[in-house]
Amino acid sequence: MLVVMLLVFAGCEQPAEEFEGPSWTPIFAVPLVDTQFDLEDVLDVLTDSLDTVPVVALEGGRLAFVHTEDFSGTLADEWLMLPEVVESAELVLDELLAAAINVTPPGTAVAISDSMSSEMTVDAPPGALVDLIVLAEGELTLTVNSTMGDAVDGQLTIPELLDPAGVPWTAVWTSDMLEGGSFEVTEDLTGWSIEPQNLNVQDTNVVRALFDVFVTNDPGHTAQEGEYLSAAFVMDGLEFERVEGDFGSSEIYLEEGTTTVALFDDRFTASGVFIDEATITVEVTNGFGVEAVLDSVVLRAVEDGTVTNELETAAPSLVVPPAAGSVQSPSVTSWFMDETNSNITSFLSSEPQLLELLAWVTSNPNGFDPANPNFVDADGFVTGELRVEVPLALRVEQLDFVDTLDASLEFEEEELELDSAELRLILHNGFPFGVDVAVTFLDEFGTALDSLSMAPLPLFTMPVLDGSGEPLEPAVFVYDLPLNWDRADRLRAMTRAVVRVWSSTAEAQSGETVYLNESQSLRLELAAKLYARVDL
Amino acid sequence: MRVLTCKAGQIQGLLVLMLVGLCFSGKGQLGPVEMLPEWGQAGWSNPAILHPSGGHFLIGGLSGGQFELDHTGPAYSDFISADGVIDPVAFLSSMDPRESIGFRSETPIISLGFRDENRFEFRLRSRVVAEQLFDYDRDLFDLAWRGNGHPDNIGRPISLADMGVNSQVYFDHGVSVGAMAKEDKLWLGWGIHLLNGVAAFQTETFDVEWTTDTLDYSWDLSGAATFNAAGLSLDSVLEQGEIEVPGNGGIPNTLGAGVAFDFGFLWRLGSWVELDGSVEGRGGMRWLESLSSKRVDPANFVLQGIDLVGEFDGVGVGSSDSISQTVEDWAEALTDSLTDTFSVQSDPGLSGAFDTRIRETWRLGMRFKPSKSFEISVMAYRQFRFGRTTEGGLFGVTYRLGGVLTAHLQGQYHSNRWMWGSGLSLRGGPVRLSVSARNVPGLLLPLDAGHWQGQVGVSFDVGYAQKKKKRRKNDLGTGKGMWH
Repeated sequence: MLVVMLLVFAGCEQPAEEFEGPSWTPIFAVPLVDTQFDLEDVLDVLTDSLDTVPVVALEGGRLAFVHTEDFSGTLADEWLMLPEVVESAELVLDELLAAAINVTPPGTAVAISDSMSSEMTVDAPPGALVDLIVLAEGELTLTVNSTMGDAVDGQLTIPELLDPAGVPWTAVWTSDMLEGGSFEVTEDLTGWSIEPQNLNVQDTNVVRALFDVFVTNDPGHTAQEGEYLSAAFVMDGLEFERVEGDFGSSEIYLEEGTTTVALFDDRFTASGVFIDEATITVEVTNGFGVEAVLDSVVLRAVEDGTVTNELETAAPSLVVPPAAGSVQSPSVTSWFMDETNSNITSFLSSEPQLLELLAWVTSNPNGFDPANPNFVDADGFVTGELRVEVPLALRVEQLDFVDTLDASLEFEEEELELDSAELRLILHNGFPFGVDVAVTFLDEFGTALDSLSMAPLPLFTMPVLDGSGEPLEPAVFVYDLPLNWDRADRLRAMTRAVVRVWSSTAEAQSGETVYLNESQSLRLELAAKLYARVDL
Repeated sequence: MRVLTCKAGQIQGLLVLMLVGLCFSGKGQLGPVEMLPEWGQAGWSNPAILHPSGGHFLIGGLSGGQFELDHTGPAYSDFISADGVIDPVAFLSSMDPRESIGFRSETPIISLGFRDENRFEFRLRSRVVAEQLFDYDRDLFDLAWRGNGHPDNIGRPISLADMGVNSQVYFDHGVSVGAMAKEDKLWLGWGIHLLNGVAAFQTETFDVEWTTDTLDYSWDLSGAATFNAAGLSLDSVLEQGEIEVPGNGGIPNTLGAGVAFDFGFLWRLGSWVELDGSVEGRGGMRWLESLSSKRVDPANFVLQGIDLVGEFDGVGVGSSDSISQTVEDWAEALTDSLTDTFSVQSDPGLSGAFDTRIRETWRLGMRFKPSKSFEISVMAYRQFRFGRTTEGGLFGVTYRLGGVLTAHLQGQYHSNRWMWGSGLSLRGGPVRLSVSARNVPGLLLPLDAGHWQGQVGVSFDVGYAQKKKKRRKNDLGTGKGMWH
């Protein structure tokens, strides 16, 4: 009974029929971004990847701006040009020879022999003495014409033209072939070789043709003075597979070229920039079997067609060894210039500059060594690679940057149940330079809508350096950017953002040079406090 | 302003109201049944204290059944106004760092006891005990209300290590005796429980900690957990969402076994003052069959935001599509990494036996009896339940009218809150009816405070209904009680 009474009485206290929940704003703190930038990443972001020089790590970890440019240089088929071989000879009967044929018993032949020779004069390289030409392609044409009424047989041999088996080329004809007055013989010279004779100083690169003619008296014909037999041969379309000989002393050009080198692009304004170290390397790759010397390099800065600066160097000429045996084993040598043997640190500028490079090598600077004949393969080449390397040991007193970027802010308010938010930016600057940034947001008419802050933000807070110019530890910058709907509404009209950056290296005014290496980095963290709106 | 009404039509909502009240009510641990012997087997908390009847016999579920549902957290009215306005701040301020919702039922099957006056009593009983405790952490609600970015939360390890669910169902077959050790001075008691476990779920370890860094707001998550079960397939619960009932509705199998012990004493310091103390339920079970186990090995996970350079390496940031795709890939990888870090491990068929303790209570009290019908009692207690310890103190006033009526009022102070309980035991002939509640205001005003605990008992008592004719003091001839 007591229990029943208690239970009944308990029913007298009723909970509310409807509940009213509050609206509240829990704060959710979330990390958004945590990433590590090395200097190259930072430069990519800062300069939008335009006209910038890649940064690479050198041995020992130091960083350097590196710019490389390949010059295609000289190819073999451009440097060594094979001439055509053209020669002809004519056998004309004079009175005596005609009478001699006429008195010869019928069926008996009169033998006549002669020879003709041609010099393969190589214009490029000039004066080259050729011992061997292995042909990749080419064609020989022999044309024989005859007005003689007697039967004429004969043969023509070119002893310097050898087939792949080493047998000299020979053409034999019979009188039947001349019934029409002439005939022509052609030969594909692919795989053939020419071994010109260098008999003396005057007779060089000689190719000879030897022919024998047999005239048989025809009783029905009386040989007349003036009848003749002519023979002509042409070797044209000659392309070599390999050429050996003494190529003499001539210049092999590295192709002239230009390149733009920029430490900072034209959106930067730099002052008080001092480059302590820099190197230029010209790496020559020689696929010719010719020793050469790199004795002529012209590197100059050009602006509007006018030379503004020229690299001067006391570096000795570079001896370029020949390729070993074939183009497959080219030699690689480098010509090196730095601040000790040139004016390179003053030659290079922190601003973009157009550099013009002219360079060539001279073949056989020490004369020809018969024991090591020169050679050129068909795919032979000589190239050069220019490498400008500026180790990042810099002193920059002032480096400013201005750019206008397209920007817009688009979002659907309905998707974000937020009262407001606070974006936190944390930068751990491990670089030995500082960067202040100001960002102003503009509408399409150029009216300033908002800005990151009233004063420039020291995004890259200048770290304290140790005695060797290295940051003791990253300097931390923390910035909270409040975002609310008023601000968001203003920024909806944003179309552009003007970014202004002021930078300098640590302690530049006191002459301190800083060193950048790959262990230095920038850690960027983004986080947010979201003031969520919750309604029950 | 809260409204008190009494409408018959609202009785239907009583059960709902009771549940609300129970879930958001006060804190109570002990009641009249633990203080007085008139409540039969339900009150065998101190085996040294003898039942007032010469013998008693109880059968069935109502013969001393107990049901209690406790919530240690804020009561309904602590954070909800009469017109239904919810005040989360009040809710949080009313909470302790850890709160719990506990359920316990004791259903007697059979019990009986025989007493030889005030010298000796023998008791035997069997009952089914089901208990469950769900612990939750204030930080859980604090996170929802204020968020991890609130100045009071950021940088602070938010620990949910106290959370967990423990439950067990077991048969308790007990024998206990109480005996006078020194004539009219000292009574000692001892009992043993033979425990047959039917089902259990144990949160062996649960350790979750979330710290938000004050500088970069990165999250540091660490955690580990181990769950054991007997008679319940955790695989089916986790993978299929189905709970298999032990025994499939029939007689459940015995999956665990153990023993527990009771000890008690009653020391009559003078003719009107007594000192009593007891340890009840010291022991536990070892679960050996139908076991399953899940664990999350200790691990740590730090969420630091997307690594832009790494994610965009080789991809480029040229288009918004590539950015969104990269972010999606990153989120997917993050989820996979989180899942892998805190992967749920199990060893099918190889789960080891595990142990659980049953509820254990230590009591120490004094009873003052200025007259034969009037008794004032005080008691301090400490209770251990599923690894949790609670303490409290209570005092009570008891009035006895012969052997017919026993009325009891008590006040209990626990966890900075007072609760008021009462009990009534009536005997008519061989039938004794007893009811009690630990916190009567909790019944009358369930929205305000109190837990729900009720005990109803019907027993058949024989002997000693009226005090028998007194024996001469030296009838026993020894004067040294039972154990001399």
